[in-house]
Amino acid sequence: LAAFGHEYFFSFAEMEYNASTKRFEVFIQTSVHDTETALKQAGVAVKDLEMQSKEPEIKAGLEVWINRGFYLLHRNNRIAFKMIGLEVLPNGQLYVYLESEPEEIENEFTVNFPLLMDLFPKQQNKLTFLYKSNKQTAVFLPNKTAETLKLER
Amino acid sequence: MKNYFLFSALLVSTQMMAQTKFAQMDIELPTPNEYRTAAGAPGHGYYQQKADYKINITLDDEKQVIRGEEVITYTNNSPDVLEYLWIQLDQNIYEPNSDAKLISVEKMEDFRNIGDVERKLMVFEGGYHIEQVAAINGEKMRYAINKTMMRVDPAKPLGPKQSISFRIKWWYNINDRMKVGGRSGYEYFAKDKNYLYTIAQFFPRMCVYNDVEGWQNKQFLGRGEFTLPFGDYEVNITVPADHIVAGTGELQNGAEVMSAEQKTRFAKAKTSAVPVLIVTQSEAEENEKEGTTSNKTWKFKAKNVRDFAFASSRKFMWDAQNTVVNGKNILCMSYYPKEGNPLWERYSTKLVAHTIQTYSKYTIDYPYPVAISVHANQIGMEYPMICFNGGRPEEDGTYSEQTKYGMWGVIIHEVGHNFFPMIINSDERQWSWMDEGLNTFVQYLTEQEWERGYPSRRGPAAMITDYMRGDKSQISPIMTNSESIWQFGNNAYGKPATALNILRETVMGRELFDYSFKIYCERWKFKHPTPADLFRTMEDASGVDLDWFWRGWFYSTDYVDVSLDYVKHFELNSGDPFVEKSKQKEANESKPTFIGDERNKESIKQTVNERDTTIDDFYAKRDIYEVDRFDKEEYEKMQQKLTPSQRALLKSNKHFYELSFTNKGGLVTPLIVQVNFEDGTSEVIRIPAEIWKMDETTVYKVFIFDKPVKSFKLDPFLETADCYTDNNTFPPTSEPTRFQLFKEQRSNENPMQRAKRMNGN
Repeated sequence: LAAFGHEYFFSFAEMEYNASTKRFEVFIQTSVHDTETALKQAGVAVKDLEMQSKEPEIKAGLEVWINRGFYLLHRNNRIAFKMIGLEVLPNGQLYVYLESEPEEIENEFTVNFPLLMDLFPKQQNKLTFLYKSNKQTAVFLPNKTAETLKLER
Repeated sequence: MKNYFLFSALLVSTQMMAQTKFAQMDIELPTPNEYRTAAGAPGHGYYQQKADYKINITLDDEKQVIRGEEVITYTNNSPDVLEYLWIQLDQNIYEPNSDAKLISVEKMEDFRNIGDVERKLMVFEGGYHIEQVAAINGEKMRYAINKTMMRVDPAKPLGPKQSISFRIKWWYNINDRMKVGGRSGYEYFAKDKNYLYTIAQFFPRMCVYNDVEGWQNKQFLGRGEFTLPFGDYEVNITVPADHIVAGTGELQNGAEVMSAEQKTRFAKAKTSAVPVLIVTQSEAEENEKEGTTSNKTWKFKAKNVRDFAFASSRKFMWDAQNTVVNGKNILCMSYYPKEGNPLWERYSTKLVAHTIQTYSKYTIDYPYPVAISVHANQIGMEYPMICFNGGRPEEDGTYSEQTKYGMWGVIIHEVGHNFFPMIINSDERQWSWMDEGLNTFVQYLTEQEWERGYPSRRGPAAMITDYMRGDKSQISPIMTNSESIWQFGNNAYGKPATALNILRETVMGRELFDYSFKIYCERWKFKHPTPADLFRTMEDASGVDLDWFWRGWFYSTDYVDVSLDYVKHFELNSGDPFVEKSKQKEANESKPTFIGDERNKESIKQTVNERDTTIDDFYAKRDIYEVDRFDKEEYEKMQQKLTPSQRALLKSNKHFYELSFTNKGGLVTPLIVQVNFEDGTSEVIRIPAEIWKMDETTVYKVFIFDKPVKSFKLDPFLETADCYTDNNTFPPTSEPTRFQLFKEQRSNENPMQRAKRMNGN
């Protein structure tokens, strides 16, 4: 069966809370093919993300979509992200880079990472969170799309 | 910090922990027997069944229906008496109430828009209509259909070495692959109102009966593909006269179905080392303009294959070239509509030939006369000698780099499946990884030989770490049945391919691995291997105990994360009082000074003993760094006890480093340590995984060098799939996140600015 398209069902994020800027810095890796399918469903006129990755409407659509699939909750407030860049790799992977507005985190916050799970029931996502010298890894599944993390000092 | 030591008694505590990671796999693997040996080879009693087919097919292009009649001749080579025969009816997965549909887990969130509802309510009347199951003399045979399986009862049990022939007549509606999905079916091109058929799993096929499972009659639920017995096929396919047909095996009546021009080109292609067009794009475009009511029958023969598939369309272009493997000519061919160009005409057949060559080098010589790649949008699926592959450019003929590499990768992968599992015939319905994983591994090797630095999706160790790290409870072991795997792609394709790469590059080395892997392929070509046969052969042919590796990588969800906890530096105490006391003085004087002492130099103008000379006694006046007579005598005595080589060793200025390693991920692994010396040189030390044999959590190692070390780095070439590399260095270094790397990259000059600077502008 194909080494093509849909056996991926996997996204990975690496997020750091930058103690100096108080911003969350995020890298998300996912499948270009799956993202194109999801963007089409979301009404974004995308055909080939690699060829259209510089078009403002596509980038705007991608930013809106990714903010639905990856966001934080802190003291009941939603922390949204600004997409500061994206890369489409020839091996079919999409890299998206996000940054939040400054947010003073007291202790804990909740990561929501349901990216692509509405489209693909087999989707699993994984996050590695870095803060100072600590690392935490969390797994997100369709029946567990959120995880509360603490700033371990 | 530096430490000095003499040869004092060092008691190393050996933790007697459970040594399960290195236990031999006596429990996990089946007991060897006459059918399968402990060495991993087919045993002296190994047998396999044979199923020969004569099939007549009619493709109804008006109604998208397949009608077929087949005669199966089944030979029982087993020592057993078979009261019944099992046959796969894969098309029944398309029945409206198939198990595959019923067991699909759904929630209301899955119905987000009217399109989802429409798809859910769409009814496709798929599945076989079995019209006849009869003996050759016409007598009806008793049969029972159990979903995707059919049991046929011979008039009398089939004994060892006996054969039976019987006839099955059937038809089914072909699925619209773009709407219903599926590995085969049709694609409709609305612009020119034509169909492109890629037809497979289309006829009732004999199940495997063997020493491992008896009948392999596990229901087809969609993911676990299939395994079938080998046999000889004669297949006649009747299609509209303007269709071009590609099929498993060799075309028997080219003279009847090809034009004179096509025959000439075909003959030229057979000896050409580059692709020759047999049907050009302009001819295909002309052909697709009008239909026809007349038919032609394309006749194919294939020997010793486990299945048959074909493709048919009036849209097809067709090209071919020859490639030679060990003196044998193999005709590599591609069939594609204009929608596949410009990519397909340029690359497909060359990729087929390259794949056949490279796989033949690493596995077995390709044994079949043809290898075919057919363009089918958004899929990749394999059958003997023929596969259906995606990779479609935009309508304007442009394509992205991702589309190009996607097409290259899928063709290599699907052509590669000829070897796994079409020839090395593992049971896909049970173990997806045995064909997908092994195939993805050789696909990686093939891609790297196609283009240096090819951006392979899977293979290199570092590419699997995101999947393997973290919560082990949400990951399936590789040794999981095909239907129950979480993360199918990473699990069945990526992880086994990575594991084999690590065996090849790090654990066994290329020579031992390549030899053993080829032995496995040679032993099991045209046979039915199991996981144990692979595990045993790789060990037996290499002389490397790999039980720990199979257990960790294939039976567990452990991952590699080894931390370099600390480094202690020691130097030998030479015993020479002049040398050692001088070193001691230097060390003491270089210690940081307490700030109070510094301030006291100013604030206390004179201490009592500085004023009163009667205060200082022997202890106050002695020079602790002075070398006295006794020091010299003791040193001379010690020297006399030593041999000349021991005396030289004491003067050698060797540096000793004790390193501590902790296995945090659970998966035992070789330790690859890069040592970077202060003089700018470096050395790599490779320690086998067996260092963890007595303690699977923490181990220590002492390295002795002639020069001081600046830093140590674990897994410097990213070859062990270490999931967290930030604890791999000493002194510790922090690695930038991928976000930081991106920002740094962004702030740098772009390639054009760099080029300008290079040119001095």
